[in-house]
Amino acid sequence: MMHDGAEGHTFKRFDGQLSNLHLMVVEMGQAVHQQVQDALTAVRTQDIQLAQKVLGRHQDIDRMEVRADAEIVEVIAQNAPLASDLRLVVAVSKSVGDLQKVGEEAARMAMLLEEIQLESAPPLMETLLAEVDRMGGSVLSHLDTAVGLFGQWDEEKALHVIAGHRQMDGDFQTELHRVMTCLLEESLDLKAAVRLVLVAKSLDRIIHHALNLAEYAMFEVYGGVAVRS
Amino acid sequence: MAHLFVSNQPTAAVGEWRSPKARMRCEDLRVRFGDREVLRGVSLDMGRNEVTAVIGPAGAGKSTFLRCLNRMVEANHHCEVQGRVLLDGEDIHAPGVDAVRFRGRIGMVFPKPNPYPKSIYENVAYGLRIHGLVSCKSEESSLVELVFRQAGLWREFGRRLLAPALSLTPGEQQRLCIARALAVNPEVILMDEPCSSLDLGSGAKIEQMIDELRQAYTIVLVSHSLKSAARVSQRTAFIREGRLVEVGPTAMMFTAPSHPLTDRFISGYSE
Repeated sequence: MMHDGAEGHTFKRFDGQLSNLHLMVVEMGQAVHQQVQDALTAVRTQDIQLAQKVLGRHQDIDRMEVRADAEIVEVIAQNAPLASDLRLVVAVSKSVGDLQKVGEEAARMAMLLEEIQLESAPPLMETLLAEVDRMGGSVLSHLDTAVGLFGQWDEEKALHVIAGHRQMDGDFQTELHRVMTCLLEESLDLKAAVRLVLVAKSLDRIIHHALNLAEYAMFEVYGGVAVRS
Repeated sequence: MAHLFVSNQPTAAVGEWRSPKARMRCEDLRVRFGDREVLRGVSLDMGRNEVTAVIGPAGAGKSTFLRCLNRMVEANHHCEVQGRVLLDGEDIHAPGVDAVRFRGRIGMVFPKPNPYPKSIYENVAYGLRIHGLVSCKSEESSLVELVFRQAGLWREFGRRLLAPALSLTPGEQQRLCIARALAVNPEVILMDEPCSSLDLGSGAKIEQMIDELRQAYTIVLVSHSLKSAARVSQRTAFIREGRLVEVGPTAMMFTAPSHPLTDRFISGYSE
């Protein structure tokens, strides 16, 4: 999303610093995407070891945020960016915050796994797990697209992500309603059902962070206020 | 004013050059020095009680633009001006208009402080005298005090009015020059890089002064310091190669300018 002109800033190092900020968002985005993907896989396959790996890598995400924050402060202190550069720095600063929270959601899902795990999951539970997995696939797709906007701007994709959160809101409500119905019919273990709802809620939060990322990318390109409605 | 130019169609700039608060207006302002066209049809309003910052790369025509606003540009005999500069609706370049009378309504501050080699008091009193604004010594001293108070400088200069102006620091000298410009009760103040020769602290004091003065005056500021322009102005105009490229509210110009050339300039990209 850098300037199209062949010439960069008069102070060349500034170009490198700005490019690096974009790269940090993309790298952090890929890392949290992997975390969410692994957490979902762990939930679906009841893989405790994979869940523990997700938890073990969580600090790496936090470290990436700290490193990005330090870089952002340095860029502001040295260059006092304006116009599109200012928007880039603001967008990156906000994005790394959201990505760190996505990382937290992935870790939260991994922690919930033990509670969801059943010796032999009843068919209904398997159906619900499959539904959460489907939600997860959609969330990962939106997250991937949103992070990709920081590598290459695509307005159509940004609008797709922004529109996508409404669909996911509906998915979460449907999932919640389904679990509640099963609980009323006493066909589900209460503890496992609540954990499953919490996983779905984590996915719901992640899609909102993906929406934020798309809005930050749009702010970087066009400026003005967020387009959320 | 001779009509010298063939291509008279103003080039459309991004943003609304007109302002509902306009006190001073330029319409299709063109300036040529010999073969060189320095301003190429600039139209811009400057509003009352606001600071209009004019930014642009070196040689863009910013200072020439400023010097058209008080007819100082005419000091260069090779200069030819076309277009209109209106102060409260009156064209200051119109035939028969007394330039000296208008300059009394338009004060100017220069990049380097240029106090008279006299006392602090005399630097302000001189303007009052030559414009016939005082009739006796006591009235003069009262008005000098009033000018310093209006400029927010009485506490700084009140106790040392007889000190030589040249003994002041550069920052103090520049603030004195602003007070001197205010002495003749202008309506518009033109500032050409008023902080360029000052250190950060002194520059900040000038900026504070500009911010306070805009409550009473129309201020036009030419500045190479984008940060300074962003801090003190409410409206910013970007001039490049003698043309107005974009004008708009300062906050918008420095965060989300519409024209790519403005964005490149403000972001510090190579020309």
